[in-house]
Formats: sequence, structure tokens, C-alpha cells
Amino acid sequence: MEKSDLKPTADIPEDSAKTLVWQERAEPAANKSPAPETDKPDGEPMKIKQPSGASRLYSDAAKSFSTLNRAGENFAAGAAAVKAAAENTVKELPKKIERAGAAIAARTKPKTDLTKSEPPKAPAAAKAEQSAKTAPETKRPPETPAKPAEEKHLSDREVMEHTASIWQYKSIADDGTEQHSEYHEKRVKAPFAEIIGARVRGKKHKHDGTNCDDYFETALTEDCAISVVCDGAGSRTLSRIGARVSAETAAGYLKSSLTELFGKEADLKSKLSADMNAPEFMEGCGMIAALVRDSAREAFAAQQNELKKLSVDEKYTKALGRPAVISDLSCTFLAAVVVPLEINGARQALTVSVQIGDGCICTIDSRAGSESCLRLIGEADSGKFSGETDFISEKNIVPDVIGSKTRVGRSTADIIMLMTDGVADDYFPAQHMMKRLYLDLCLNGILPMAGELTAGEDPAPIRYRSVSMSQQSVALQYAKQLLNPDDPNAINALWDKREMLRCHSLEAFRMNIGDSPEERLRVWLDNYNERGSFDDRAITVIRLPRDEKDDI
Amino acid sequence: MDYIRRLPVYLLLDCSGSMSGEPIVAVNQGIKALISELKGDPKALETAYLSVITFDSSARQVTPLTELMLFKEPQLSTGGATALGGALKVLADCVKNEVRTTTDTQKGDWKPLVFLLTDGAPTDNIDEGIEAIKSVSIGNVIACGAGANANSNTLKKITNNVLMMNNLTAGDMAQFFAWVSDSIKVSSNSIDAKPGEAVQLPPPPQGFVIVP
Repeated sequence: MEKSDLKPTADIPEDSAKTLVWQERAEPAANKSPAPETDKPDGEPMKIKQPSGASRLYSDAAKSFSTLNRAGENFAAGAAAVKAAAENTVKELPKKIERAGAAIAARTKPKTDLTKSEPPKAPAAAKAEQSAKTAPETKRPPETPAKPAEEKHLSDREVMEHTASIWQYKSIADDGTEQHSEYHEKRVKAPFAEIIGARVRGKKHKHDGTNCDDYFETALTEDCAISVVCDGAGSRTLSRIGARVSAETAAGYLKSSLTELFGKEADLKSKLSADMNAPEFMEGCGMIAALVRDSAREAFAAQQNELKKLSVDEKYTKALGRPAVISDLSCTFLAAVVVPLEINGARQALTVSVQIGDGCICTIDSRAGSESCLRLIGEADSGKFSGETDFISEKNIVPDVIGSKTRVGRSTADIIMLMTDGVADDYFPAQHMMKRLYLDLCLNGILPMAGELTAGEDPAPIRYRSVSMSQQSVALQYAKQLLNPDDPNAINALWDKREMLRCHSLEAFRMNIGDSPEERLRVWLDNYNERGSFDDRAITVIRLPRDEKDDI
Repeated sequence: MDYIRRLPVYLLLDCSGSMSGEPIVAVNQGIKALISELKGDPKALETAYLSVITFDSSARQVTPLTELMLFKEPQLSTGGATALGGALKVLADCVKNEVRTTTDTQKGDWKPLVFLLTDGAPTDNIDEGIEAIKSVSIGNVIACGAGANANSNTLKKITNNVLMMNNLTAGDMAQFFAWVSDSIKVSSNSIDAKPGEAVQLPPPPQGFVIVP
């Protein structure tokens, strides 16, 4: 797969310029050449092997564990981690955060100095070099001298206040192909878990009148919470359809197969609650991991089935200018199964997840301190460059590859979030800033907030004009406002005093952005403003009760 | 600590003696039109940063990488030779100093987009300039040769993306800058495009030839 030309800087291959493509001069769509992808247009449907015996499951589990071990961080599992007790693995985290904190301190400071005060050295240096070897200088009036960089500085807020009036809202243009709704929100609830989810069309797609490419689906069984989030490739005009079939299929498959599994294996929950060293724990995890992995394969099979329909449908051939191919349905794939457990009277959650492509899956223990509250599960495949990602495809659903992307863990977390990069990129770096995301959800009334409710205290919520038909303005609170920008450890300090932050919440300012948590989630998702953030956004939040008194 | 990911855009403009008269007037107008066009595009406003590097007998950065909303177009004048090699070295230095790289804690900028406009053959050592830009991360360099004296073979050594425009009329210049503006808009729009695709630049203006 070719890489995008638009990459952040670092390690760019020298021939990257070659990948630039000149767009055909505007001509009838039918004349456009087909995409050069070599994906089989309609390969035979995937055969999904159902796991058959405990021993095979065990080896599957071991596989994903050993991968985890290699990846070696963040999440409490893996052959090595299994040896350690759950609480031991938690102890690792403080050190990491401390190190990361020091790293920020070391890096941020000089960077700030560089951009703020140092005028570019280039002109002078270059001029000296040049005069040494070029033809005699012709006398001519001096040009406008280079101004020192950023002698005047605009804050991101000033820029966004300006652009807020320029973003246009266009409804989705109907070209006869499958249209997705402007936004979607959903809540499912059981005594043991609640899942809220929302997706919204990004400002870019609103401005251009195009569809939202993100999709999510959630489900509950009697024992498990299930969430799947997919982001259709931005450059593929039909990728939203791939995202929809993938999310719907995987969530549906997980729901039925997990129901069946828990019905069949009466002692599965006790296996999952066993000591993390115990073989039965690994066996139990392996059964669920196999289903989660298979859900990705089911999703890809569903894409192939969908393609069979689309590739012979005139409307799609017309819209694309050629018959559809499998890569037109490309999307990322993030899926998680959460099994709430009670172990020796304490609540824990087993999380089994798979991530293909960018976005973020994380767990939060809302009662824990800043150093141990957050764990990222899975890695975005984007590596150094965000904006580069991987999709579900033939090559990455083979057992070895999908196994390497599967993660299993058990912890005291009560919040499990899955999101596309449209949200994750706004909370960079995730290993710190997902705490800020959680606080934003609390401040805006989406998740319950601890602490005493008093009158609103400054900083007040920020109001921007919404990019919507109504153009009304929506005020939202941003945890960012409460952060000391010069303190790299500020997010941890803020986290540790989160019970004192309720005075900054929308509620304290007597504001409410919706009648239900899921509506508030959607309104927040649709309206929070971040400079340079105009992608589609999707997020699901699984919330488990903290104790008997916690009503959800 | 909370930097946005910028799209740095560098304009490398030939201000040698042969550009005097109508061409440089057109270039000055072209930059003005480019800025006013981009200021109407919210995606570009939130992400694109612009810098101007000029070259004649020597090369210099006239405008450092600047926020679009704060960008003031420079008034360019002409005279002297064509230090294209020097301009590429200045570009390499500017990219090194101004473009932020991604770290564990900070979002880096997008790879810079470079538009080069020249009407003649370089009078200095172009190979040194080419070496210099190879040492830094640049996304796309698009070179546009204008008029009969521009040498497409030389430009091909710098980049694969070479456009030739037949003459230096105000009309052609205006078209060129309109195309640059469209290209920046498309690029800032594709910022969150997934890989697997190259960024598609808009078709070049009528009368411009893509050098294969």
C-alpha cells in the first residue's frame, strides 16, 4: 500500500515525491482510470473457522499473550504479565509516567524557545555561502527584510473564532449511493454495564457536503459489553459502507457467538476470574480472544459480500467511474469485549480487544490516581506518522497478524473507550491526554462527575458557532482551559484534583447540552473545537458500575 | 506544548533580472490573490503556514513560515542572476529550522509543500542545492518552469513534478497562482486522508505542460 504524500516530517523515503498523482483534468467520471489497487475485486468469501477445542483455544491465547509480551507494555496480560499479579503490573506504570513526564519537560522547553524567539538563521547563512561563489552581486534595492517569526501571535482560539464563521454547512449530496445519517447516537444499558456511543460528520465533510465515514455499533449480552468502531478511508468515497458493514457484522457476530459461548461454558466466568497465572484463566481468555479475532475476519467477509452487490450495481459504477473494488470499502477496525467480573468481592473487568489501523482503545479506572488510572490497549498502526494507517484487509486478518493485534487484560478499570482518530488525534499524546478526554466527558455532563456542585467558576465554558443548519452557538467546557500550559505534568495534577473541578462543569454554569447522556455525547462530539481538527468523529464509552451503590 | 499540526508551504520565487517588468508585477499580484483566496478557506486557515524564499544572484527567505491570517505579502523586485542552487539550500535550512518533527509528546508538522517558479537556467551549483534538500523531509516539490529559457531537464533533477508554462504573461502567472492555491486547499483537505492514496493535486491550468 502506498503511503500518503502528506506525512508529518520524519523518515520520509527519498522517492516519496514520485507518489504524487496528477488528477485527471475534469472529464466525465467514466474516463477515469481504475484505481491501481491489486486487491482481488471479488475473491472467494472468507471461510471462517470456528474454534473447536479447548487445546486449540489455549494455543490461540498463548499466541496473543506472547505478542503482548513482545509489545511489552501498558496492559496487564501476556505470558510475563500473567506471572505477575494484577497489582504488580500496575506498579510499572508510575515509573513510565515519571519517565515520560521528564521527557516532556526536556523536550517542550527548547521547542517553545525555538518557535517563539529564535529568528530563522537561514537567510544570513545562505547569503554568506552564496556571495562566496555566485556571480558578482547586482546592486538592487533591498527587499522587505525577513520579520522575526511570530512577532505577532494568534492563539488557536482566535483562529478558530475566525474560521467558525467561514465553515459552511452543506447537507449530504445524494448521488444514488448509500447515504449515512448526519449523526448517530446510541445507548444500551444493563445492570452490569452501560454503553453510550456517537458519531458525527466532520467539519470537512459538512463543508463539502459529503458523508460521515465513521461508524460504530454496540451490543450487550447477558455477560458482556461489546463495542466496534470503524473509520472508512478518507480517500475512498464508499469507505463509509465498509465501515458500516464491518461494525454491524462484527458486533452482531460477537453478540451471538459470545451468548453461545457463555451458554455452553458454564464455568467460563470463574475461569476468567481465576488467578492470572492459572491455565484455566488463559484458557478462558483464549476462547474470547478467538471470537474477537474472528469478528475481524467476519467483518472482512462481510465487506467482500457487500462488494459483490456494489460491483454490479450501476449506481455505484457510475458514482466511481468504474466498478467498485474491495479497497473502496477500506476501513479501520477497533473492537472490544468487556466482561465485568467479581473477584473476591472486588470488581474487575476483563477486556479483550483488537485494533487494526489508527484510533485509540483505552481503559480508565476513575477511582485511581493519575499515575495508574489510564491504560492504552492496542497500538495504532500509524507508527510515527499519524494520518497513515492500516485497514482490515486480506493480509492482516490471517491468524498470525490478527493475533498480534489482539490484546487481553484484566484490571479494575470502570471505563473502556474506543474512538476513531478524529477524536484520538485531538488528545495527543494519548498516554497522557486520554485523561483529559475523560475529564472533558465529565465536565460536559456526559459521564457522572464526583465532587460538590457549586456555582460556576472561571474559566467559563467556551462558545463557538456550530457548523450546522441552525448555526446556533454551543458552549462547552474544555479541561484544557484548566491546564497550566507550561507544566508538562499538568494533566496529572488536574486528574488528581478532579473532585474539585465540578465548579467548572456545564452543570455548574446551569448549562445542559442534551436530555440524555448519549445526546450530550453527540452534541459535545459535534461541537468541540480544536484547531486543525475537522475529521469525522466516533466514540463509544463502556461504563461499569463501581460498586453496588453506583447506579447506571 | 499543544501545537497543532501545520501544513508548511514554501514558495521559491525567481527574482532574477529576466523576471523584471510584467512577470514580477504578475508574481506580486499572484501572491496577493493566493493569500486572499486561501483566507476564505477554513481548512487552509487552520493548518497552512506560508513562507516566501526568493533568489536572484543569491537567495534569502523573505517571509518566514507564517500563519496564514498574519501573512503579509512581500513586495518583490528583480535583478541579477539565477541562484537556484542557493535557493534550495536556503529551503533546506528553513525546513530544518522551522518544521517541527513528531516526537512522543508532540505532534509534528505535515511534510512541507514546495512550489518553485523559475524562468531561467541556474547560474550556480544546482547539485549542492539538490543534495541539501535531500537531507530534509519535504513532501512534494512542484517546479514550474516559465518561458522559453526555463530548462525542464534541470528542474527534473530537483523533482519529478515539473510543469512548464509557455510564456510569462500576467494571465499565465495568475493561473499559476490560482493553481497553487487550489493545490494548498486540496492538501489541507487531505490532511486526514488515509494512506494508500497519493494526494491528488488539481489538474494544472490550461496551456501548462506536465513534463513526464
